[in-house]
Order: sequence, then structure tokens, then C-alpha cells
Amino acid sequence: MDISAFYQLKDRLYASVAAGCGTIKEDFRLKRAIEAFEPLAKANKVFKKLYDMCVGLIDSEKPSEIIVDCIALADALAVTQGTFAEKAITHKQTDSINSQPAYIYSSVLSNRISELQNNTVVSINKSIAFDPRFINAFIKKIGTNSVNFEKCAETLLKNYYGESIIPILKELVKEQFSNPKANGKAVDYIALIAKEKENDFYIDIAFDENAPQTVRASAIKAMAFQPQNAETLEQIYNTQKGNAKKSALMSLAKIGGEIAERNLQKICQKFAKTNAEIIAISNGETCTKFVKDYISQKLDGKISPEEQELIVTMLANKKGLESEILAVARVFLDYKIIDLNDMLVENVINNDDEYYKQLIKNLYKKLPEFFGNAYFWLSVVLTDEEFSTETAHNINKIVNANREYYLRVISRLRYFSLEDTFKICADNYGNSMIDGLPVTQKQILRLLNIAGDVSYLEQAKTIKRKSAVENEIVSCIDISCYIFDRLYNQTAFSVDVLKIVRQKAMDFVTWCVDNYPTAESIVSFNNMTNGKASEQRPHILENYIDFYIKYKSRAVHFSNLRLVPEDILIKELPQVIQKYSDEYEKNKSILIGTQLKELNRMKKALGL
Amino acid sequence: MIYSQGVFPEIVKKATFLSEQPDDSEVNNITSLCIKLASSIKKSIAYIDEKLETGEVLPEDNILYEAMGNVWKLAQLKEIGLYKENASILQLSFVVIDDDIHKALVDTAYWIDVETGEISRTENIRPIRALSYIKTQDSAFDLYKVKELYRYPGGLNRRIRWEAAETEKVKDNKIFEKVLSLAEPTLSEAVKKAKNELKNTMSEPVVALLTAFDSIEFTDDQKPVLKKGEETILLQSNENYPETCEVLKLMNNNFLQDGALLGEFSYDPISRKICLCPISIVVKTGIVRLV
Repeated sequence: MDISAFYQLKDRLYASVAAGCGTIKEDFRLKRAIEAFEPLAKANKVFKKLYDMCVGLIDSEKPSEIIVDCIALADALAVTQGTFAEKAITHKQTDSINSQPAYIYSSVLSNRISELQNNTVVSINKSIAFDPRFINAFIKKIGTNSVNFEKCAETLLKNYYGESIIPILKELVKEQFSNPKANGKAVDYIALIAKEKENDFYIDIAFDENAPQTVRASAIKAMAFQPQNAETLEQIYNTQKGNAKKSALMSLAKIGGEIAERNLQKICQKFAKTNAEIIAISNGETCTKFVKDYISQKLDGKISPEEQELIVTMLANKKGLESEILAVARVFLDYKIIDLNDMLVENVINNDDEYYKQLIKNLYKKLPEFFGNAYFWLSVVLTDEEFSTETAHNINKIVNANREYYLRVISRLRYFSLEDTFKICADNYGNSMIDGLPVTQKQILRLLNIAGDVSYLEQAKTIKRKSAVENEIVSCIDISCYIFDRLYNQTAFSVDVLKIVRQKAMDFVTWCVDNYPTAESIVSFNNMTNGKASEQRPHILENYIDFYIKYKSRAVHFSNLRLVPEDILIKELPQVIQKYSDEYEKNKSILIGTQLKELNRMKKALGL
Repeated sequence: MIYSQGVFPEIVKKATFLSEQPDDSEVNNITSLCIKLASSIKKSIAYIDEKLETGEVLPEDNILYEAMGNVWKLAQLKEIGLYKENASILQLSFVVIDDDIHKALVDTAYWIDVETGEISRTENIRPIRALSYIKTQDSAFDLYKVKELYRYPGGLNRRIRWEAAETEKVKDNKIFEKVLSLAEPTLSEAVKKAKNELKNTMSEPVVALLTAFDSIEFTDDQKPVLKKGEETILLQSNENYPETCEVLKLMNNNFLQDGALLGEFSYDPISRKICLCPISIVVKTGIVRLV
């Protein structure tokens, strides 16, 4: 039965309310709708009721009261007339991502999703990673410009979802066509997982005029995985503008070869700083020669910091420029040397080529004072080669020159359960080239040899007055203790490795407690002995204070005493105070007097 | 918003955010709410008049009591027999709804009585200004055995509350098979039930039912469709569950066959269709939450 007359009447009733009930008497459209509804009313009892009410409405003196009832009835009737069948053709979902619902509390899942949304993801376990609700939240975040999120995304994509997520990412790419501000991240992630396997997809997007520029640019970049794309890329480079053009050249630079070389020649001939990034990517002859000539020109005069940065950028991935690197190192600012080292390390990380490893070794041999950093990371973390005597000696020398820096980097070692791997995390100041680099357990043991070295501390005992050097030494001890304390119970280590780690930890911390105590070393010792420090070293507090009075000629301040575990303080404080009170009685030493003051202050704070 | 308070704040909010040139659907939306308010007032006046006439002033099983602004005490509900003894209920879904009209967070859960199949809801209302004073609720996976389960007046999806309950871990799949057997066996029956509730002016705009399905499939443009026998219905997210359809797209196919869907039925006056918003799926091995 065609009930369109009913819907028209319903619409007119609503329109009458909107127009104002005062006009109902003159509302000819409403009257017409009621008349058109009459046949339906004759066929159906409930429609008849509505019809009768509407007829009464027209001539009513109080239309506002009646129209409420009319609409209420019309709404109810509309519900009863509502249909639900769906006619579209359907098909079963192809299992793509192999999701698995996690039976977890709503609050737990919400927290993890909030972390994702706020780019503060710290850790996710497998069960949450595969929950479809989490996956949905993750997909919605793709496109976010956040370093934290991108790192999390890369881990999830490479280690968990893999190629199964590609169909979903492809859908996302299509959805982005309607967003001119879309940033092409979905394509980048497809490329990250699939590399050359989705070459046809990249080409389709690259040539799709409906796609936003940035999405096309990402697709063009991804074409670099397939060397056969060189001609197509040249075509894009010659016909397109903006991001697409630049991306095409970047991809050509990555692929290399004849086509790349002839196109790179053009930008080298008319060099603009904005092309430095492209020159950096290429390891071909054209760019290498350009950089060589560029450096040679600049060395004639003073090189500004901006130009130093440019040179470091363009030296990346180049072979045969060892002399040039040595030449710039001699004139660069200190902090640019660090960048130079970073670049050398990145060359090793990004290129599976022995040349770059040998380059670092050669540079270090010639200018050890400049290239120690790159040499250190190459020897300790980027290879698994056993140390030769010479290498061990070199590492020692490098670390001795800047121990605190290396210990701080080692202290950023973290275990990532999502990937079942250890990595060195970023620090608060920005990304270092070593950040996020996976470190094997064998390499961790090497790093712990450095953290556990006490040889420099033997001589350090004799440094009397508080100085920058003394502060640095104490800092090194504390950082090492922190490293060992954190790794002491790290169950991610294999059983054998954990045994070695614990031995190294105990050796170092015990040595410090006995020979060069700090508050941190006492805390670590107490943690490692499960709170039984006092049993193993009954005079640990006394030794700590004695050391500073005897070797450093200064008192241990209240702020350091506070860090000592409370049970140790409660146990030893009375007798230590007694000891120094007796001593003070004998010789009235100012130093002892000061120490007593600090000890009594601590006693009062504990309520003893 | 399943939230048993007046419709007036909703009208104010919709009016506040009305566009400069409102279209028919915006105007009709507010008109519909005004009709609801007018009906409530009319019915409330009649209710009070009747009370005055008969002298029966105590409250009874009638939603108007709360609609007029009164607050039920559990003792009152017990007195008028609105409680069930020794109820066994299982939570089917849990969500925290941000009710910005009333400036509160509402912990909302749907529960099923494993004996009768009745679907009820719990609401823990936490005003924003008092968030730190009210305990939040969370999802629950155990079977709740409630000595005295209080039921608020209403039609389908009555609000329930209890003071104490024992929980029993779900050890095997029998309970889920039982729940599956309690689902509406056909779409027509589920829709009929929903329509009977939705057509009442004073009812909530959504009705939650557990509906059996053979499969959930997808159209070419990736919209989910529930299929039971020859009957089909398009699944659409709503304001309180905005992403459940997208989560469905990511669901393993194993969970999209031979199960039952907890969903909110509603009527869309623009398409003139009965809509279904998915919330949870019950299968033989468990309950899969989409939110």
C-alpha cells in the first residue's frame, strides 16, 4: 500500500508547528494533505483516528493542544510503518588482520587508547594490539605528525600486523582523496611493510589526479623500491611540479643508475640548498663529485654553521670522500663534529656495505680526537665482532675522554616487549642517530663492561676538594648504579646473560660501597640484596661518611643522607652519631662538627 | 541518550546550536522534542489529577513519577514490588557516555537476565563537578547473583540497581549458549518488539535487544548488514556508540557467524527506517564487545 500521503501529512503537521499554530486555519497545504490522506484513513482504523484528529484540528479554537496529539500519533504511526530490510548485495568479510578481542576491562583499554590518541604510548601488550577496538583507534590515528606515534606505528606495523593490514591501509588511502590536507602517511606505512610488492598500487596513486599532492608524493617515493620504475620516475619528474616532482627525483636518487645521474646533474649544476636532501640520498658519481667540489670551494674561506650543516647532510651515503671529511673535521665547530659522527653512523645503519664501516675505522685512525664517537658505536653496537686488543684500548680511551656521556646513553637502554628487543631510547633533547637502534644481549654485555669499569675510580679517590671532576665521577658512579639496578631483575635476558649481568652488577656496586660509596650505590646495593644491605655490610653508613671525611675532606650533607634507605639509617645512625661525638670531643674538628650537625638533623627528621 | 531525566535540557541544547539557516530536519528535531515535552506535561497533569481524585498519592509502577523530577528510593521500589529475588545477570556491554547536556559522565551497561532473557541497564551518573567523589564503574565479566534486584518503572530495558551481589566466574561456555538461546529468534520479532516500545512518546529513543543472526556481512562500500534467514537489516552506529560499525569491519569472521547481536534499535524519521546500532556480539565461546 502506498502510504506517501501519510508522510506528507506528517510533514505538513511539523511545518504547521514551525510556522505557528495561529496560521493553521488558513494553511491550505495542511488541508490538502488531510484530504489526500482520507483514502488511507478509510482503509485503516489507526489512520482514521489520525484523520479525525486532523479534521478537528483545522477548525479548532485551541489548535496548539490538538496538534500536539496529532503529531504524537503521527510519530507513533511512522514508527510502526518503519521498514528495515536492506537490499544491497553483501559478501562475507575477508579475514585481513586476524584480530582477536581482548577480554580486558574497559578502563584498561580506554587508557591504552588514550595513550595512543595523546601520542604517549609507552608499552602495549600483544592481546591489546590485536583487539579490534584498539586497531580501530590506531587506524584513525594514522596520519598523525608525531614522532612518538610514528615509532609506535612502525613497531605495530612491522612486528604485529604486517601485510594483513595493507587492505585496510589502502582503503584509508582512498578515503584521503577527499581530504586535500592528507599527509600520505598511509602510503608510507604500506611502503614500510610491503616495499616493492605493492609497486602497482604506488604507480596507480602516483598517476591519480584525484589524489592529494602529498599522497601522490608518498606513492612516488615508494616507487624507489623498484629500480625498473626509473623511466616512469623520470617522466613524472619532467611533467609534474611541486612535491611530486621533488619526490620523483628523490626516488631516482635512491635507485641510482644512468637515468638518475642525468637528472641529478641538472640540480648539481644549478645548486639550491633545498636540494641538499636529494643530493644526500644519492651515492652516485654526479652527487659525489658535486659534494667534493663544493667542499673544496668552501674550504678556501670560513665555513658558516649553516654551511657546515649543509655539508654534513650532503656527505651522507658518499664513497671516496675520506680526505674531504678529514678536511672539514679540522675546521668544523665542535657540535658539528658530533653531527658528522652521527652521519657516519647512519651510513652504516642505512647501507649494507662494509665500505662505511671501514671509513669510520680509517677516519678514527687519522683523527681519533674527532671520530671517537662514531668509532665507539661502530665497535660496540653496530657489529658483533670480537674486540681486538687495539679496539679494546681505543674504546677505553674514547670512554675515558667522555665517560659521563656514554654512561648516560647506556642508561637509556630499554626493553620493548612489543618487539621482544632491547633498544637505546631517545633522550629529552631530541633524537640521536643511535636512538631506537636494536641492541643484542651480547652487545649489552659489552656496554655493561663500560658501566662496570672501576679502574678510573681508584685514581679518583685522591681528588680532594669538590670540583667539576669530582662531581662528574660521582655522577658516573650513580649512573652506573642506576643502570645495574634497573637491569638486575630484567627477565627479558636469557638465563645465562642474566647471571652475567647480575654478577657484573654486584661486583660494581659492592666495589663502590666498599671503596667509593655514594648514596645511590648504597640504594642499589640494598635493592640487589633484597633489603639486606645492613646484614652484608653492617657498617655501610659509617664507611660512607668515613670515606668523605678521610678522602674528600667534607661532610655528607643531609640531602644525601636522606637518600640512604631508612632501615640502614635507623640501624646505624645512633652509633655513628656516638662515634663522631666522641671524636669531636677529642679534637673539636670543624669538619666533624659539621658532619655531626647533618647527622643530628637526619636523626630528627626520622623521629629517632 | 538513555538517561531518565527531562527532555527540556536537550531542547535548550539543540536550540543553542541551531544553525543560522536551519533546515527542515533541524527544525523537526526540536519540534519532536517539544512534542515529547508537551506530551509529558499533559500526561503528568492527568496523572496528578487522578492522584488527587482517587486519593492514591503513593507512587506506583509508572515512569511519570521520575519524569516529573522525583527520585526513586530502593525501599520504595521494593514496596511496590519492583524487584526480583535471586536474579542471575550477565553484563553484555559497558560504556562511559559523555552527557554534555547534563554535564555528567554516565557509566552505562546492558545486562541480560540469564533466566528470562530480559535486557536491563545500569546507569552510574557522575556529574562532572563531583567526579572525584563518585566511584567509577567498569566492565564486568562474571555472572552476578543478586539477592534483591531492584527494577525501575518502564517498558523494555528498565533501569536496575542492587546493593549487594555475589559474583561467580564464568567457567565454561554453557552460560553463553544459554544467552544465545534467549535471543530474539527472528529479525521481525525483534523489530516488532522494538516498534511497540519506540512508538510511545515517553519511551527512550532507543531499545536494546539481543537478536540472533546467521551472519554479518558487508556491502560493497563496507557497510555491515545483519542477516537472519531471508531477513536483513543495515547496521549503523549512533551517537552513543559512534565507532562500533568500524570495529565490526575489523572483526575476525569467526565472530560474525551464528551468533546474537546486542544492538540499539531506533527509528530514523528521514529514511523512515528502523535502524540497528551494534554494541556487542554473543557467540558460543563468549561475548565480544564492540566498544
